[in-house]
Amino acid sequence: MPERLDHVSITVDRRGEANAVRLPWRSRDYLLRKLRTTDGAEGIVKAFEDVGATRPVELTAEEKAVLYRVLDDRAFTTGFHELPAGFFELRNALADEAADAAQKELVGRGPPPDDVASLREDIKLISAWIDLATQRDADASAIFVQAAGLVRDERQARLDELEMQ
Amino acid sequence: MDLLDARQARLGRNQVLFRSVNEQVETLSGTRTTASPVSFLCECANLDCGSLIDLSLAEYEAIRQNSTQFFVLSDHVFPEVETVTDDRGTYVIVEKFGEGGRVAATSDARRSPA
Repeated sequence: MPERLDHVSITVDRRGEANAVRLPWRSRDYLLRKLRTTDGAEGIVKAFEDVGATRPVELTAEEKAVLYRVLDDRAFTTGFHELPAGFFELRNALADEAADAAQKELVGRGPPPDDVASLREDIKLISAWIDLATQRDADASAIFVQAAGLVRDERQARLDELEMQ
Repeated sequence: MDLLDARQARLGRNQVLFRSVNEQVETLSGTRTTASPVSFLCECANLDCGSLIDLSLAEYEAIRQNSTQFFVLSDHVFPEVETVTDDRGTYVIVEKFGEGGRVAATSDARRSPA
């Protein structure tokens, strides 16, 4: 197979910079077969077919979301280690771009609000770590036990506040 | 939020909790020199882990510069929620993506909005 048909590149942003993720031609063909039977993927198929192997595939954010879902479904169906070559890297690159976009959108907003169930789970968990560390080597983990205790106290205070409301 | 998002969010929250403890470890170890190792909690998404990883304060600080980065033992990586960005031998640096990355970024006390 000539070099130019060896792979196709898909443009994905990472921290504001455009990166090309390579997909071997065989994987590209496999992906297109899958996309042709996927609702809402017509634009993605066209984008792949239009550029051939000579230019990178450019997709909209919506198309990337559809493509991510297709790759992710495939990953959960077959397992991550049995994906066609390049699928895992492309899936992760799309996820990273989506996370970057979401984080950008969230600038200025605070963390997700605490809820009683999560705080209780946190407190239980920290107590288990402290028990484990104390049993293991009390001297070596003294700082850790103290630190974990402080975080547990802080979580407990927030839980008390929530329960008072 | 779909099932994958929910899983990523919960795993991300676990790691945020580990990070909170490790931030306290760093504070309490503040009188040590930056080169001497300190035992930090493995920041993997497995709640039953509880393993400790020795890092210098300088190494810890370098990792902490990025809200979505965590350090975990080499065999404690969850590829469905994170990618390995650096292999340090006994441990690796991972970067969270998806919903877990969002939780990690927005829950970073160092970067919380005033």
